[in-house]
Amino acid sequence: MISKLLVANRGEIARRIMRSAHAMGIACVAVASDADAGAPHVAEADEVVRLAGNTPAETYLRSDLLVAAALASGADAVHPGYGFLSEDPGFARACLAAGLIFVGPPPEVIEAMGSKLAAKATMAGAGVPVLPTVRIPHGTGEGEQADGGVVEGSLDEGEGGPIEHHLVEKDLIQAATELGWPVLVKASAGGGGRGMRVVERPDELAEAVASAAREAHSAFGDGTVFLEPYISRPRHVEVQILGDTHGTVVHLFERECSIQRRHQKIIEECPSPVVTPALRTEMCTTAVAAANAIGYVGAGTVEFLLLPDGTFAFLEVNTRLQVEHPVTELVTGLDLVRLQLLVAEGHPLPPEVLDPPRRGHAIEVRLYAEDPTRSWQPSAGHLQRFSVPGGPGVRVDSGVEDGSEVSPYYDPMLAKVVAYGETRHEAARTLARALDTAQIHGVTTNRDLLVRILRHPEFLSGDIDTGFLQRHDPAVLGAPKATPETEHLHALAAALAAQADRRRHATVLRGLPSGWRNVASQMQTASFTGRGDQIDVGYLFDRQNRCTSVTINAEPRSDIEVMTCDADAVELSVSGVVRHYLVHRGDATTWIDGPDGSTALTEVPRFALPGSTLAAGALVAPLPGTVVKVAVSVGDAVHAGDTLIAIEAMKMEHEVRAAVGGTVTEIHVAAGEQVQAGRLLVVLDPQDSDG
Amino acid sequence: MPILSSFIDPASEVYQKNRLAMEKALAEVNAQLEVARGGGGERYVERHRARGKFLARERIELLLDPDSPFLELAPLAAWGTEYTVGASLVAGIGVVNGVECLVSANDPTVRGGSTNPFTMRKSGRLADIALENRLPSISLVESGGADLPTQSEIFIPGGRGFRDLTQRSAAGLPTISLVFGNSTAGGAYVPGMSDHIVMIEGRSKVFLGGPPLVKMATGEESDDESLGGAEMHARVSGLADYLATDELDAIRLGRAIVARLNWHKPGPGPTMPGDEPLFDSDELLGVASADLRVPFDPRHVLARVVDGSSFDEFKPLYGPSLVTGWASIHGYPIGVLANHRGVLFSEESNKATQFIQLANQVDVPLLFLQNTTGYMVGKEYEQRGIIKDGAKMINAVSNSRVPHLTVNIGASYGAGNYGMCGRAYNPRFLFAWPNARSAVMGPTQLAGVLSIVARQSAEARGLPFDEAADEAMRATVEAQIEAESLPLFLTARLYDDGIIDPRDTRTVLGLCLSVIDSNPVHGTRGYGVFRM
Repeated sequence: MISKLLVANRGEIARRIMRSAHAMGIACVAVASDADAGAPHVAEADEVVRLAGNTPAETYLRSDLLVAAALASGADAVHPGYGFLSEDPGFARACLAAGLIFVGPPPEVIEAMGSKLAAKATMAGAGVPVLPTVRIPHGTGEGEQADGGVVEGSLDEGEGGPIEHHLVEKDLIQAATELGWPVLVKASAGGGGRGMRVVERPDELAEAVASAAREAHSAFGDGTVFLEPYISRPRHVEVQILGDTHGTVVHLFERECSIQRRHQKIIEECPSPVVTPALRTEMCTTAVAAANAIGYVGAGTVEFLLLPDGTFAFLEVNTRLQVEHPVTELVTGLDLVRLQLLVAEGHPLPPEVLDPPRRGHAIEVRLYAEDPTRSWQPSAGHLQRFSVPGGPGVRVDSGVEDGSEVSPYYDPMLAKVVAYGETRHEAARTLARALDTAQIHGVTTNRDLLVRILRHPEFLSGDIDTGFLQRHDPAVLGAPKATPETEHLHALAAALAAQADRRRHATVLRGLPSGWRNVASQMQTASFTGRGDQIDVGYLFDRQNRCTSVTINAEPRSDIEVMTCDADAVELSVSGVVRHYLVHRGDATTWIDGPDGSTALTEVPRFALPGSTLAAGALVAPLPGTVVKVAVSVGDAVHAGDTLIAIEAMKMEHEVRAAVGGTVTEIHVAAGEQVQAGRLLVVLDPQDSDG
Repeated sequence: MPILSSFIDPASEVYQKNRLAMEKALAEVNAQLEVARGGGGERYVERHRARGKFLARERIELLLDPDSPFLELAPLAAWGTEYTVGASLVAGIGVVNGVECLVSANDPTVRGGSTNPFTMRKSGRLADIALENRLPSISLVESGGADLPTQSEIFIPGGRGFRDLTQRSAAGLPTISLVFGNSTAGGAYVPGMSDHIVMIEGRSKVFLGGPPLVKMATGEESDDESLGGAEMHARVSGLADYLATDELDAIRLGRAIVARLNWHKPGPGPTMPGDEPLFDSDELLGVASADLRVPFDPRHVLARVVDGSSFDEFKPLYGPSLVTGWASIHGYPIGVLANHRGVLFSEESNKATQFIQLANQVDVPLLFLQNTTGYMVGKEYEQRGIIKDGAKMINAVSNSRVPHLTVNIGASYGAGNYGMCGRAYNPRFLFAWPNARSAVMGPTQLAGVLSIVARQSAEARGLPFDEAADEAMRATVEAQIEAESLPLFLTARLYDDGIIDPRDTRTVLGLCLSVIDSNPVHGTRGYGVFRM
């Protein structure tokens, strides 16, 4: 029996696990880095153990600290969640060695599946279809001296058993050519697309292998990479499996996770729109066979590539609870965390799992703090408001709430929003509307992209694959819903709300009409900046304190009627259609949410404080992170587009480039330095036009 | 609390007639306000803008808290004179960083913002308002000093302006000057006498004598910058406390100075719920009679001005030609005296006297709504002591120490003007509706009196009376008196603080009551000897 569970994770999954554990009467212990001290998962736990520091390496990846936390708090079990140490056999072993129950499969199983290369070999041995592989021996990742590799099994030659070719450096390209271009470089220890590269041409191979190995080494501590044929337009279909300690393994149907960005899933669903009953039976049976082959215990996932020809190939086994497990829960009515805990306690799988029901359709999206229009750049910051309307059929698993800090140290996923419908179309429509009406203030998100995908004819037809976002420009799909005209209306709403707020808080003459004049000479005014040009708003209240006339950018707008106006809500009638706007005023930014989209506008102050304006040619950090490279020195001449500084954030390198040519006059940071967004990095003296 | 019942039929003939007359009068006033807004005319406005400068009203708008109200005072000063309407000065009461301030701005598009005799009278009135109501004052200075051709009317009395400034400072009322341009010769003392001075780099010029005068006086060759540039004053003479980079920056600094004044209003603050009236203020346009000879019930006005249309009438059955009672406006309690049937008899005078005393007992400000033709004349009334009773009322008004507000909503003739707290009785603020008239007596009456006196004189001397000449004389006199009793004529001479749209009455009075509240309200407890 588990009486107290240490949740060795953070964010939404920590909250999710605690929700089920609490329902089962199990006390929960949270762990929290410094940055997470005030996080919701901490508030919901019964006890908390703080982990000093912020980076995962200092905190959530510290097996020793986590085990110590469990022991110190008297926990008798550890749930690793997903990510972090969830697939680290060393952590599982450490837990077991400390006498703790590890909620997950045995360490040997984790280990066996941890190496993609080893897993593929095992699975091929068990008769599971796999793709051919070119192995690149360890160590090559550190430099360019790729000195050899191994090709293992293939779809075509699978029946003949694995064949191996030892390669020397010059043979690498040859081996890749045998696989067929383009090839995929993958990290053996990888996941989530890290350490993965698509290589189109032979001359790019060496560098791709090197950089993938570097990234893999940095992310997973193991730089082993291998090559696979690159499959164009595959679908990602995976099977949820569940095994108990009594030798029973069942499947809980498939999930399709083909909508991905940078090899990371962003939309998942159950069931897959293309998996036929026959295919479902085949895939699920294969998955159960695979699980049985390795003695699987607990919740896990067998991932497959579903090829355009209807065949499928093993990708990997995830030996943990998946991010996307809620879609399975919604269509089966099961609680996977509860089942994990029951299994961990040694119970046999309960009867409802042996022949699980499946009803309707569920779709999940991962709501990320990132900008799809700017190469998915993560957006950290203060989440001023986070509110996704629930309602029938909508489930929100969020790691944040109003006022949360979205820190640059961890995955920028804010929440998973999941919708259930009797049909796939209904689920998609419900989910799109929930997202569309959400209030998310303070960080840029992929919300508009998700909504557009959910409403995209190609998505709705079920004709999807992992190349969806290569075919459809994320910059277009992810462009803000708010048009320039929307921004104009929102600026008006923001101005009117601000005036209502000022009037409400006026210390004198509060009861008088807004902006009252006995000799009126101009309109009341406010200016905002949004994504585009500055927007100048004019408005005039009459002696009855009704706003009777408005201008936008000096144009009188007789088509607009101000219906009501409060500090946090404004109703505008535009050409006879009344729209309700929610206005949320922060220190400098005002967020407006309406049926026509959401905007974040900054009021242009009437007076600029001296010295508050940036010098021309000043470059600031686009996001918080660590400076990994300073490519220039004071006095260097640079051209527009030259890389000046590189900042690593979220394990990705962001380059700060010169917008104009000129001479570097100031450098304010050094490599290794932690910088906040907006921090001045470099000042250029822009080149004269004749210079 | 008793609620006034005041149902007006906007479809009635009387209402329509009244409204038409009022709208016509209002249109005339608004046309003149349009002229005032135009300052020195398009050419000068454009030249000013071309120099990258804000207009006077724009400077004020930037200075004020966004969306806060601003009551412009005496906007039509100098109307009908040889000087530009507005008297080259834009001024009023507005809110800067939550502080009610007296704000005035020279209009540099009107003869360089120079001071003419009407500018001087307007400034004098503004100084009184600031002092009486404890308002910090902010001067947005850009003036070439005295309008030299009129120096004889300005020079000697004009010295008062500088005395006023420093006396206000001595009374603890902050004075702030933001110097936008020239402020030379006598004008240099406006900033000179102020507590806080902001000058603008390359723009402000403050000196007693410019290069030509210096050359004439001492032969010294000099230039503007070394004599009175902002940089010089900020770095060398120390006259400038703050050096602004541009006009916006100067206004920003002015606001920052106010923010640091640590200003408190010692008044009691609003004590009643400031509920809106129950009746539509728009109907105020049709309340006042188009024909001044037709009395109208001031309760219709009160029902559209006071909080919740709630009015506790005092002595409703006694002296009914004058309505007295208690109400509040924007939460500030007031005692109201309003003429109903124009004439003040002994009863009305006694009632007013008692009511004024009561207001002083309870420290409540008084509102006078004037619509009076004066105290009753005639044998019966003289014998019953109308002079004694009128004297009591004037005594009470004169020695009352609670603040008074006066609005002329119709007629204000004769000693009734005094008893109902006319200009000479120093109400804190006095406004007129566009339909109002004020004079020693009505034009017809005055012409008639002159005619009777002439006829009697002719008879006494046995001379024939020239009826035709008398007719012509009466027409001329009537026309002159009518013109001189018009609100534009009176407002031009600073006999009121402005003509207001009747629909703004509640707002204007609410603002004034808040301004008055900058002082504690203490009524007098002792009076002059009442003649009984």
